[in-house]
Amino acid sequence: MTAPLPKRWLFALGDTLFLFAVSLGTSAVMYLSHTLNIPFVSATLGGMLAAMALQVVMAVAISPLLGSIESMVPSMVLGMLSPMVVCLAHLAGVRVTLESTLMIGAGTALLFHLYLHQHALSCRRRFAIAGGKE
Amino acid sequence: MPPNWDLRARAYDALEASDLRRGPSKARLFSRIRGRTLFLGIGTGIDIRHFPPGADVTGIDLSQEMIRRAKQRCAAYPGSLKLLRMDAMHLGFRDDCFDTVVTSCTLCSVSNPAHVLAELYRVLRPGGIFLFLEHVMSTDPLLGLALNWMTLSTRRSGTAMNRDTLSAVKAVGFEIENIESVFLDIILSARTLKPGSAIPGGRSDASPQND
Repeated sequence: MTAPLPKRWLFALGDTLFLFAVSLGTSAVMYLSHTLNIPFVSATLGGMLAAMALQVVMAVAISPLLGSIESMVPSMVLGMLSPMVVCLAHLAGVRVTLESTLMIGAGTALLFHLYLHQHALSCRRRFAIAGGKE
Repeated sequence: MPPNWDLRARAYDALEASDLRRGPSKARLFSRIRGRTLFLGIGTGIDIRHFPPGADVTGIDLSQEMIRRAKQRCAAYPGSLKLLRMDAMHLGFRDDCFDTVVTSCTLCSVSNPAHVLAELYRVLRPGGIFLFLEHVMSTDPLLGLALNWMTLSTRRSGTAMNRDTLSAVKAVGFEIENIESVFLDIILSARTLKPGSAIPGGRSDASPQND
């Protein structure tokens, strides 16, 4: 346990909401990039750069509340994954709308949140099995 | 170009504003401080509020500006707290002169962590405690990738996000007593020991060497 329980829950809730916000934001940026009348590769690269910039700004802004590393590291992964999924949907020929983009963003955030939760459990097990040692 | 810590001191508290979340972990770790204590990288003194009352701490930092800011927080501390400007690569203390050494998000920012850890090992008495709260490389491939990416930019300001600090600590000779996850396997809080037992009456003075 690293903090009193109610505080830990608040941070966990904050982490989750923040991940969803980053995922929705970066997915929407990639969607908007693809609405511009430019070649697919340019839209993808430009969208990815803009999405990463948005993620960094959001992480820096929230860091006084959630912590610098705690907000920056997971959101950086998600800030790359979510726009990539939007691009893959475009590549697969799916008709991507803003609504479906937000659905993709929310779904990716949910999956990544579950992945992180699983990793957190495995970290706790790892240190507990080692009796707190490594 | 070496990182300008005096410049970073001005924005340090805002950029490292993670105390709200990590504070309880720091307080719990620092509660294990015993006897003469060396705190490496005191920074702006943001951690002083988590020191247990009545401790005997010598805080060092490379940056004069960090020390100046830490002094403002030092006055409110109910214990003995001495602040010195010193390079962690060349600690000006005699061997075996501290009972406890502590670092908090510092080993990511020293130029040669193995050398600094060897210096900490040297000044810590046998049987002494080394406490640290540090961010390290994750074993998770996705998070590890993000930490490697971040290091590409943070290295310019003197900070590496992807260090295997646990291995470095063990390689120097410290025995890990306990590790706690503060955030996943990225921020860890650990209590380690320098093997051996204290030499009765054999501890050196913890004043800086003048020679």
